[in-house]
Amino acid sequence: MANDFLNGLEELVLLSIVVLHPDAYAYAIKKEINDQAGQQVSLASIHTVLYRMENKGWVQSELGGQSEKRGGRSKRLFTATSAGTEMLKSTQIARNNLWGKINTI
Amino acid sequence: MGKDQHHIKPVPPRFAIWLLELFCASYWLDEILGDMEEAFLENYATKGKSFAIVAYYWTVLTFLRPHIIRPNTQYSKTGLDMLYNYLTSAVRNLRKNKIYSTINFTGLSVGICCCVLISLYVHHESQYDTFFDDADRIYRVALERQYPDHTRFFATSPVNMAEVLKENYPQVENATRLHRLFFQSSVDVTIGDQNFAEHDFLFADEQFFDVFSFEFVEGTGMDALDDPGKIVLTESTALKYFGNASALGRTVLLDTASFIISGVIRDLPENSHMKFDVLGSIWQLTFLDNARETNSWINPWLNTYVKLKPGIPKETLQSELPQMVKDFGFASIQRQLNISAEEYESSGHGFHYFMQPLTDIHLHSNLDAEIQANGNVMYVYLLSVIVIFILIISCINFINLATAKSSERAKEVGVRKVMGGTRTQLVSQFLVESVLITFIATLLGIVLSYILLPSFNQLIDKSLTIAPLLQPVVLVLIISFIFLLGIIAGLYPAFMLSNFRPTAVLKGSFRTSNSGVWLRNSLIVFQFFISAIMITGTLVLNKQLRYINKKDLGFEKDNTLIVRNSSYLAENWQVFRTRLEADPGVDFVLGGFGLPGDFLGNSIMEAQNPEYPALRVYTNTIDEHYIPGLGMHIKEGRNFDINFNDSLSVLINEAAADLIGGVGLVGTQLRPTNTQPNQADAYTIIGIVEDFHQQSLHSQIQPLLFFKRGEQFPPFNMAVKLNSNENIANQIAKVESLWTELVSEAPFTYTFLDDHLDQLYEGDNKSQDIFGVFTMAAIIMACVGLFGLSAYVAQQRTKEIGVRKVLGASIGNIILLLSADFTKLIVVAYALAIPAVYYGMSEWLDSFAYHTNVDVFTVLIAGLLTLVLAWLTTAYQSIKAGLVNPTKSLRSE
Repeated sequence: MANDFLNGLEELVLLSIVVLHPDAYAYAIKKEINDQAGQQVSLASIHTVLYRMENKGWVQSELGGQSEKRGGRSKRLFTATSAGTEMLKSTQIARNNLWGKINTI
Repeated sequence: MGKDQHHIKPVPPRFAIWLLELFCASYWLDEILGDMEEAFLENYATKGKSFAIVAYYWTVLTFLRPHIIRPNTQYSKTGLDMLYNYLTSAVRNLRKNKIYSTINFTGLSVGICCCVLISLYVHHESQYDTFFDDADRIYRVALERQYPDHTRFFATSPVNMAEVLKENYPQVENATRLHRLFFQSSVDVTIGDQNFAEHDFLFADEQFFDVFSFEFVEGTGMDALDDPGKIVLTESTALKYFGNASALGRTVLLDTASFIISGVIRDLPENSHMKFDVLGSIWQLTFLDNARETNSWINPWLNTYVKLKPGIPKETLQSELPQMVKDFGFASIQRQLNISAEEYESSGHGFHYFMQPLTDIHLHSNLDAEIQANGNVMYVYLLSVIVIFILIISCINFINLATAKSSERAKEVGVRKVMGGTRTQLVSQFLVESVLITFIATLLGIVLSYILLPSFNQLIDKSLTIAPLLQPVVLVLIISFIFLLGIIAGLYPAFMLSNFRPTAVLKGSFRTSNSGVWLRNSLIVFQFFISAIMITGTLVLNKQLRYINKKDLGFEKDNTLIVRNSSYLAENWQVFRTRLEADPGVDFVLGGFGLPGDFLGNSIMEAQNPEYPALRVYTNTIDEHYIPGLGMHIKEGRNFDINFNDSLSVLINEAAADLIGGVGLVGTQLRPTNTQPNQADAYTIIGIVEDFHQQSLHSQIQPLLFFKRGEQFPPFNMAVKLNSNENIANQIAKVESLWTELVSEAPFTYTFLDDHLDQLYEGDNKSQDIFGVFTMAAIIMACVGLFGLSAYVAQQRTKEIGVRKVLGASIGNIILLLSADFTKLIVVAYALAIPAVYYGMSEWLDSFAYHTNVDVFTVLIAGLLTLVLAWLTTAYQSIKAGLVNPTKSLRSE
């Protein structure tokens, strides 16, 4: 999808998925964004973004990792697909290029 | 957190979990719950219990997102399937029980048809005059005229009031005058060699088209009536006169004067309180011109309409009207009556003007000198009540039949429940079914009302169209009505049926509950309560109208041919009279200003003896044949006589004599109060006429005075009393041929006195017809319902009847047994109805000054009728049940 691009939250979520691999699930992602970017994002927003990106083919998911602290419930573990990683990279390149053209801020 | 730890593990709020489970798709549910629990435990540990709980709830709410909410594909699929299933079983049920469905559909659709028709009528009546632009700020100024002994209300006001209002009151944007001829029923219009008698001929001033918005086909409202010689036609009148040729600028003759057509307007919609085909200028009427010049404030000659400026409430002007009478009217009273206005007021006279909103005139105004007979808001209310009754009756039929049929549906309900049908599903099944029935019945009802509309129009003498039904608002109303009625009617059966316990039902030990019987019985009582009211009402109405027909009016109304516009006979009128009198088929030829039932003028007379009070009397001018020709009787004194000079003689009626109050009044002199005492025109009473009804029986007999008419002019109206042995048609032909021989410029217009008098009761006759029809509808529906119910009862008691027959009961016993139940209910209903009817009908009868009573006999007849109807309705089913061979009814188990 040539015209598609990552929006801010998507980029943060996708980056967190890569960072957290192999234990990237919604709540962990929420905490990661909170810790790294200092942004309070609601769980539901994370879910929406994950759902959207999964539909776009940038991430894929599987169930697993039940644990006691989750009341014995499974996690949905997300991994970035190659399309997702490509997207991240191209976004970063574009960003770097733009930064390079700035002399002073 | 391990299980060996001592403190209890915190648990997220159950309700929040339940909420989430309610809407969350199962695909997401597990992980979301997991994530949330993780968050909850962390919050609990770091920020405390309450924060954790609130945060948990909040998170649940934030999950209300489209992709997370459970797509209800699976649910809606079953929903649609079930709806389809409900419809199928509804249709099958309707097909299976043909009688039941027919009764349901007829009852409901007849009810809805009545409802549609009456609503159209009520809508029509309530929309009078709303089509005028600015109708909300146009008012008519009406007069409450106070006399020392009574008060009269006039729709009319003095001739100069419009100008006074317009020039002196800043609230008034414009004012106009409208006049109809009070003493003439038609005006003759001549175009070339054609004659037309125009009955709807009004007169207006030059402001008329500024106040009332009319659309001009030819000409403009600006100058349409600015000259006494101009007249305006409606489109259809112009078409009648000139065909498709232009009418503008052409000349017509009214009577003998010629007028120029200055405009052609579109025909008025039917729903206007003013109706005219031809509109002349009021200034062509010389008496109005005179009244204007003398600035008379005594005679209310014409209708005054004011248009207020936008946003001004009517009270701001109405409150100034008393002062207006003082400022502008008192001088005229003083001048014309020769008495100071203050004295006049203190003697008990008063002119109180009030403003009637234009759109209220048709339904709420019933004053003297209206432009045409207005509608009566009472009839509108009454019809609305009747239509509600009819609707209730049809709903009751529906509910009753459905509950009665419930035992048959019980097995179906049982099976559905066993197969896993929930109560909600069953309730919706029955609601869907009843909404379906209402839907079909409503469609049928609307189609039926469309078919019946022409007959209904004939009945009420209007031309209603179905058009108001097609407005979007109304369509929405109809659809909500379908759902509302369907749900109301279906609610009780739905809940009752869905409540059955499947085991009981399927085992066959099911019996209709007692509460169902109770409800059914009260509904039947209510239905027959309404029917009894309507039957009695119709009978009393009939009785009153018969009373009117039979009542001795004090004169004979049969075989009397009224020749209108006899002034056209001009100098030939005596030839007309002599030739007719020579005819053996003619008993009398009489002439006068007005005949019984006609509008009469009035004046104030004062007796010469100062002990007698001044009296306001209606006056008529008649010849010596009038009294005997109409079969009136002289009680005292003598009739006018050609052997006397009677030009200063008068006859008075008993009511006038009573008002004067003396005995031996013959020979007493009377003088009109508005003449100078030295003008020697005092009249001598030469005779007293027995009271007769000049007006309808709605009003009391008023004091009346007859002057003798002079022979030099033709009378305004003539009447020919025909010999009852002659063929009426031949006689009419003879009179007509004589007329055409003597008169060339006007057509022969005639009517019979009894027909003419019938017109006074047109409203009453019409309402009798309407009530008759809708009473029939209500009764038929109540009977249809009873028929269905008796069929059901007979069927329920089949076995009981079989056993009774085996034990020796006769068919008669069985019929009695089955009728007894219904009879009891109807007797109860009737007992309840009597007081209601008695009160209601007495009120109505009181609107007639002369009326019959609600008597025991009528009430009994009505009761018997109700009962007989009910028996006849149930008889078929009872007899059928009684005739069944017990071997058949007892065989099957």
